[in-house]
Amino acid sequence: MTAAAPPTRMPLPEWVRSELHRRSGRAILVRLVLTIIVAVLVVFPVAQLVIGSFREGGPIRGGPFTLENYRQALSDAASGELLFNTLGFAIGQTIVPLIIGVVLAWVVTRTDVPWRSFWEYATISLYLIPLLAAATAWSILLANRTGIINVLIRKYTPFDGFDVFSLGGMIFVQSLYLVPLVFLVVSASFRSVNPEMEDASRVFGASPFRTFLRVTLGVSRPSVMSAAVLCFIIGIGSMEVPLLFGFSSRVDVYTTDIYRALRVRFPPDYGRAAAIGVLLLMISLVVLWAYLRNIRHTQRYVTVGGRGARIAPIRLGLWRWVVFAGCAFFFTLTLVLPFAAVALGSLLPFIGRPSRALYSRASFDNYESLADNAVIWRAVKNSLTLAVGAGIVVMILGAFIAYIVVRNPSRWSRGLDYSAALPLTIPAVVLATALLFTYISLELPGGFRVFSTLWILGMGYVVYFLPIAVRQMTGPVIQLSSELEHASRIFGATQRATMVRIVLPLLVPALVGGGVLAFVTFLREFTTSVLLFDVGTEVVSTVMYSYYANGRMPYVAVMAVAMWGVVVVAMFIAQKLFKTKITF
Amino acid sequence: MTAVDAVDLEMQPGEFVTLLGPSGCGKSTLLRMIAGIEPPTTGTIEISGRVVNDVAARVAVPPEKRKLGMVFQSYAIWPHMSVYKNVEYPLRYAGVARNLRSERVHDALASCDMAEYSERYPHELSGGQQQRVALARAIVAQPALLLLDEPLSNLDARLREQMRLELKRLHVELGLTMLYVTHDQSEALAMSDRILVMDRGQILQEGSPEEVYRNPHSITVARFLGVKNIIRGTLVDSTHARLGPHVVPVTARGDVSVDDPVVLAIRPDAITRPQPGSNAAGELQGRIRVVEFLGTEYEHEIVVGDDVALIVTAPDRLGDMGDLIELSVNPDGANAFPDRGDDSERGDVE
Repeated sequence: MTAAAPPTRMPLPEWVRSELHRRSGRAILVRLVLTIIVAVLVVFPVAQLVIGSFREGGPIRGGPFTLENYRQALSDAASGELLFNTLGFAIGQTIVPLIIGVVLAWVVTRTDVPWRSFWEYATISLYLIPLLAAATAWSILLANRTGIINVLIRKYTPFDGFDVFSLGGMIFVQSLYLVPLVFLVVSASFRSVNPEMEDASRVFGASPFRTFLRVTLGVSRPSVMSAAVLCFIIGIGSMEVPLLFGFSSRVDVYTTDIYRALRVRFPPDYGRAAAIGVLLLMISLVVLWAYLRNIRHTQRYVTVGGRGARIAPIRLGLWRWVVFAGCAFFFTLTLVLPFAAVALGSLLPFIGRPSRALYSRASFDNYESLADNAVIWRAVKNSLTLAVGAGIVVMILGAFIAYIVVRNPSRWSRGLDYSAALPLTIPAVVLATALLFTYISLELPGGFRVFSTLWILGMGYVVYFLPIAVRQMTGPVIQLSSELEHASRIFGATQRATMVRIVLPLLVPALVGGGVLAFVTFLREFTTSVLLFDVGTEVVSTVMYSYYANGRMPYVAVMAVAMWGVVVVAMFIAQKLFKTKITF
Repeated sequence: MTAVDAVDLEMQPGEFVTLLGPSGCGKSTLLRMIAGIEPPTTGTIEISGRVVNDVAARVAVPPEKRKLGMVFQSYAIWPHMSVYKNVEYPLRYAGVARNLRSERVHDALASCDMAEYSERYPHELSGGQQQRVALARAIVAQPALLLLDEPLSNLDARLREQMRLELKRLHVELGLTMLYVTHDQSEALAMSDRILVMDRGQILQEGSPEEVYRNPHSITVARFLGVKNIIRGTLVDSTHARLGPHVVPVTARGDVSVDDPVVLAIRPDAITRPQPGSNAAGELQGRIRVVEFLGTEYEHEIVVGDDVALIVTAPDRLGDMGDLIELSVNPDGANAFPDRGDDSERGDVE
């Protein structure tokens, strides 16, 4: 029916009319609420940041429009070095994990190396290690003079040690813990490559290695590229490693510069932070644009299919033991050594040159004195409240958005989808800065302020995880055949009853899996926390950093051990109780 | 794009009606409109005397208020519920008291031969068993109308025939009113009281299976009903057409006159050996190119004239490959339609 609208009515755009025409009032209300939430959390803050960067004194003071902030940020004596460090760090920590992650994914999905599923499990546990805990471990192991490994190297080999407090050290540590991210993205793609394509390559004369390079890796290019882009954006936006290893040795990057401007200088230099935030945003947009250009011809890579037939793994012969040794070495380096280091460090009175005298003073004193510390317990309470609360909120939001996008594709829902995915393309530090500017002075009726409360941190966490939550829920919703819902309606259940009795129960495993991932992510989150916390709203990671900055390394080690423990327990519960699997 | 255009369909209680057509012809859309899953843009739908859709009056009853049953192509058995819970579901919303439900569930499962599986979960069942659960769920609340959306298309050939018989048996035993959607002409012919042949959102022809099969109104209908020989020719007189160098007896359909180009639709079983008594020569001469044994019959590909290939089925082998044989045509199975030269129909024309 194309009922002619009464001529007096305002002519609405076609898509608005069709939207209003097709949907019930409740459906429109749900969309409206989601749109407002996403706007408040993502779109509005980023707009504030960009506009504010052009105002004198930065976003908060709202002075006249000027380019002064950019002039200062760019003409700084150190600005060339700043850019060099930022890009060097980001590119380095993209390339290294990309190589290791791709090789590891190939080994696990395609070869007959012993203990294949164990290595896969190990990679996923690597993903769960709090970066802050790992960084603590590496400062114990590789600090220039006191690092255990360095001491051993100097004692038993002619080589000099490796100072982790340097650009190279930053890349090294960050790279190790980005490997699982690359692995998860790339191995999923490798698994979906039609094995017959590889067989065809072998039949036509290519060796296993060439087949891997030309066919498996070739058709997986979009996944490899997207892993690279993810790593790069994480690299220019994350703060923990640059702050832990670069701050004291004056290897500054943009994120630490923002930290200085906002949290070290007094009064804070909002203008500079905003301008650098926008610069970072520009860099990530350029990278994204290049990425999208590069994968334009998606149909060239459509390979999913086959009949799910498991191919025979490539026989490595004796090489399999070499590969096995490589895997063992890698996971000793990334899992076993760091854990041993923090466990040891947590028992010592201070971290110094390794010596018998020092180790003989090992005790549980650190644990006892921290157990009596009220600030610690407050931080633990804050962290758990935030991790649980924000985890629940973000998964509900993600499920709603995924459901609407999958079930009712329209311009509106696609717009919602893109806005929710936006944070993935924005460096974490930029998001946190944008939220800070937008809500630092906001006062709701009744004198309620968002800043200095857990709410602003919760908002930051939700924004940060929202794209992942939507992605986590999109697959399960797609797999949920709409005929299951139609059947329920036809057999008498209302829309709401169908949601409660059919849709929700079928999505529970995905919701729990995503929720645990969110919980773990929030527990160790640092970049957002360190910019948005205040007295009274400390979280575990910010307390760890303040002990670190004050040189109380054993305390940091104690907290790293505890964090590690909680994460492992949470994952164990999720896997045993809900049979969920961590994917990305 | 209009998926369903100006369709008029009225069903009697207890009737088995089939919508037959190629995929994308709008038959499933029509079914979904009747179910209330998809909104029509115009027109009205009435079920048991109640208007459920009337676009002009802005009436659109949601699916849950239509008291229907449906069997989906994917079965749509809820994987998180046991067989019992799946079948009980419609009863809960039909307002059947809790203590009466278990007997009804049991009866429905029993009539689908699934009584002993009620505590199983869907992933523990085979495809055929899932199909039976879907059927039990669809009939348990005694719907005014049972909709079936290509329910047999995911089954293998043997199971498909078995389920076909059982559907028909349930239809008779329970006196159900059924609307069945399929693209498989043998299903449609075997089960229906009435067939509606659909294409491009429109009903091309409706009638009993025999009527539609013997008396197709157009070349498209003939093709959907499995007529494999669709060939261009010319009408010679009101009962004969020229086919290559030969003249064969045909039944002229629609608006055709002598010397008009026509499209001939000849059923594979309407071409036979000439009757022994009559003059031994048939109307056609052809050379056998391929013979296939199909179990109950033989299928031959026979080249007639320059390069017209005819498919001929017969209970006996007509000859060996390469043999030149005489054939005659039964005009009841050979229809001549006007050749509109329109692209849609040219598709399979030789």
